[in-house]
Amino acid sequence: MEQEKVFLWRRFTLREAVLLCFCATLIILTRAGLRLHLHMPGHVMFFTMFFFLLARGCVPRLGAATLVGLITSLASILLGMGSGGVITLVKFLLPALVVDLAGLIAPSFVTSLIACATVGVLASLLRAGTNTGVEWLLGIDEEIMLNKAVISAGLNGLWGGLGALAVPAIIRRLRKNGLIDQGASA
Amino acid sequence: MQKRLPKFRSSLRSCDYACQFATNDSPVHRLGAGWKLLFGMVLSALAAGGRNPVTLSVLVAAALAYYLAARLTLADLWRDVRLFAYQAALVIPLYCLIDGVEKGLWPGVRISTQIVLFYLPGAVFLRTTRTSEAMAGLRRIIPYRLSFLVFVSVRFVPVFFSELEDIVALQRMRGARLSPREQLDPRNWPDLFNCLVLPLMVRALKTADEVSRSAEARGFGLYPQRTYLDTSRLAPGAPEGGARETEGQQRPLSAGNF
Amino acid sequence: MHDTILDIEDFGFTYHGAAESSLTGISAQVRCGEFVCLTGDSGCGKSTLLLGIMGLLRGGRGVGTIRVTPSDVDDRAPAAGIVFQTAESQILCSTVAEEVAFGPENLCVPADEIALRVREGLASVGLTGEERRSVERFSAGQKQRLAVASVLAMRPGLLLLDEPTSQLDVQGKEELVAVFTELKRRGHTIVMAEHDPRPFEALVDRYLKLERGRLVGSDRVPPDPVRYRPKAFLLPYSSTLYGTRPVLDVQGLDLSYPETGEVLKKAQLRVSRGERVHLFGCNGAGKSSLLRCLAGLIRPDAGRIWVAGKESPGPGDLRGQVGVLFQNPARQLFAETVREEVAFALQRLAYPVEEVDRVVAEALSFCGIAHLADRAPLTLSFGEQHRVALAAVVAPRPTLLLLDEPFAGLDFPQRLSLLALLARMPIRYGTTVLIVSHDELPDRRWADRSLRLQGGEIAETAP
Repeated sequence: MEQEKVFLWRRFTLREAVLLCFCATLIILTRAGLRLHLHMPGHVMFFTMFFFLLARGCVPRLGAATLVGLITSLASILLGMGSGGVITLVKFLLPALVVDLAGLIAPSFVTSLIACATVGVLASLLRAGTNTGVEWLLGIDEEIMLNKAVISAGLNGLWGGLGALAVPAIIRRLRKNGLIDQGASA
Repeated sequence: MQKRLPKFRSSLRSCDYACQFATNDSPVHRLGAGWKLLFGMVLSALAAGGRNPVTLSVLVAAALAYYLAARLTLADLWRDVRLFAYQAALVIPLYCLIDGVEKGLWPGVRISTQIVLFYLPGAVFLRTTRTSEAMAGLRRIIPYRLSFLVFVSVRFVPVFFSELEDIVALQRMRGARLSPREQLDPRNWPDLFNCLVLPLMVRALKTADEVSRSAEARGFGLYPQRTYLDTSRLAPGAPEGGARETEGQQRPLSAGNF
Repeated sequence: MHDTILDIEDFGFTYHGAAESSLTGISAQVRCGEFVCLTGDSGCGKSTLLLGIMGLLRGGRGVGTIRVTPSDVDDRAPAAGIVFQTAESQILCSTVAEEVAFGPENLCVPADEIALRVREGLASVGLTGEERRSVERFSAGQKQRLAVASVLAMRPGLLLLDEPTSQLDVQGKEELVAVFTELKRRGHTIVMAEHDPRPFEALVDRYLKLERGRLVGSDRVPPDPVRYRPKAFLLPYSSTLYGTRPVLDVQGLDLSYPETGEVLKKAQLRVSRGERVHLFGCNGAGKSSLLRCLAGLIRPDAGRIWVAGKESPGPGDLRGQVGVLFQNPARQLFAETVREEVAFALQRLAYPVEEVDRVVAEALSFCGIAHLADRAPLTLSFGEQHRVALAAVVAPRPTLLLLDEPFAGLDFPQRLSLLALLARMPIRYGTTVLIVSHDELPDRRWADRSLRLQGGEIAETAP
């Protein structure tokens, strides 16, 4: 029988692309849910990092997390959840790029607790950095900017790291049940 | 679990969350999505550059005029900028603390205003642009394979939301600790992932199979280009009400399940 | 009109990683204008054959050939189009017109003609004038008709239908039968996979009967789905055995939603211990909402509910006392083994460890799945997963068992054996069973009482 046709970016089949787009749907759902009821800075990173890493685990190809990030940001804008415009795009794409970069260096990192946590924290820090970047652009006092950046990076990193910690167990379970492919390739 | 607001509370609100689409009509509503984005980007860029009191006052006046031209109320404005107001309440005292009130007050106020000005055009865009208009705009600027994925992800938000509600209800009846109060305790987080997220991912995998099969069966991705339906050519008698109902669907998502 | 449109020659298929082939040695022909029904129990290979005809089978190993004659009228038109079982996941766009236009757009049909095809497609399924509506607001039946329209808009030579009515209530089924009658009259060739073809009997020209991946018959005689003998355990409810104490007492229940308005209006319901009750209602009649109120998952606007001796209970109050099984219960599975899955609720109820093992073993054998105890639930077939979910709910021996559309996705023999199991619940555990569905029961004799939910009120119907 014929193999599935490659659909997007010379690497994803239609099924994989749709699965990644559902990861974006789930990020939006959790984000909308949390935003209304919790007002803790950085908590958005909990599920964002979780689904970025899960996407990478389910579709172990370079660009998987980036695609999720891209769809999430565009869909957020469509649904009226990203007032930052271009900044929303950058906010989701930067952490996603970190996840893909990690996948390039260590293709099977999603099954390691330490690797996931590290990537989760790093990517969340970068997202916090985007906010700082905007403030720098506006010319905010450096000392204040640094203070704020440290607090925001700390909280983002904490939530992102926590979300990332849950990934390996879920990936292992999905693999064990034959729901996603074994192993990984960059 | 369905969460229903008491009637008196929902009637008091003009919107349920910041930057929610406002159904009224205004010149800004009628402006093309592309123009609004362009205008918004210019305003944001000016906000980043405007650092003296005069330019800043002019920009504030311009942004306010833009906001009010969209027939949005001051209550709406407060919802949209509330988060930045909290931030300002933190930033201005910080400046005063470091540089003294005399030297620090102005930079603090200036930065806080700039931040609001930077994000406000985005809020106007979201409040005045229907999802369908934004979709049509998006379709023009990004490749159709990518825009399809974005639309599918939007289309399936309500589907996965009801799926999520059902799974939470099922698992809570079996004893899973998934109520909002139970979830405040990190010791119950494993239940969140085992009993909710895992089944949700299993559903996502299965739905991805079905969706991709349905798209492929209808020739999706067969050709490098595709044509589009011109909605203006549809039956003139078709009820418009349905389109408005679509917007009604943009209701806030309850987090009663988290 | 007797040209062959579909020619299958010695076709076989084995899924990737599967030990046995799903289809073996299938040979059949379908002529233009015929309405052919592929029938057989779950897992007999009906859907695989339809996917094979569409050329949508990926991975796996296939033998033999399938030829579909392409349309000679329109060279862009696909040879075949397919409508799938679940309407929800095959609708990809947000508005009706966009959904119908999706196929023609992919085929690069010019914009003017797409609008024409949208009108045509909607007209042939009775949805004219609904172009701009949101698909979210459609009922299950309307969604399925929309799915048919979106395939017809591509003008395929052959229309394939995969269990198109499985999610529909009586009205939805009737509407769809009317649509197919009209399509047949206009000369469309249709191949439909359906385990229960009774609603379509007047339309079907020929039945292709499949059993375990093999074609075992091709004739005009409809299959008899009821291969069933009355069982001795279909004993009626007896007040001397269980008493008349109500397990469930609902008085003046009101419920409304902001979007849909009133769902329940002063609903009354009283069920005694050990009774088997069937509550019938159409799609959207408020059955699921009622069940959620009873389980304490939704708080009603007005009215009083007593469940198992508790007044207006919350979801946490009824653990172990009330078991709930929603539609498609397979989605609640998460554990590594069937045993763990069933043990979960017991552990949360703080049963002692040795007690857990004993109760789990009993629940598994009661549900006839003791042989699956060490298997991973997510790797089982749909029917088996259904049983596992039931075992998990039955294990704590609830006083009241609530089931929402428990027969969806099951074939006839599976439905009957589920019913037999539920019939044993009152005798074995003194459990009261309430089934809520949009379909008739597979065997009406099961119910001690039949009720109907209509216009927000519950009324007794004659047995």
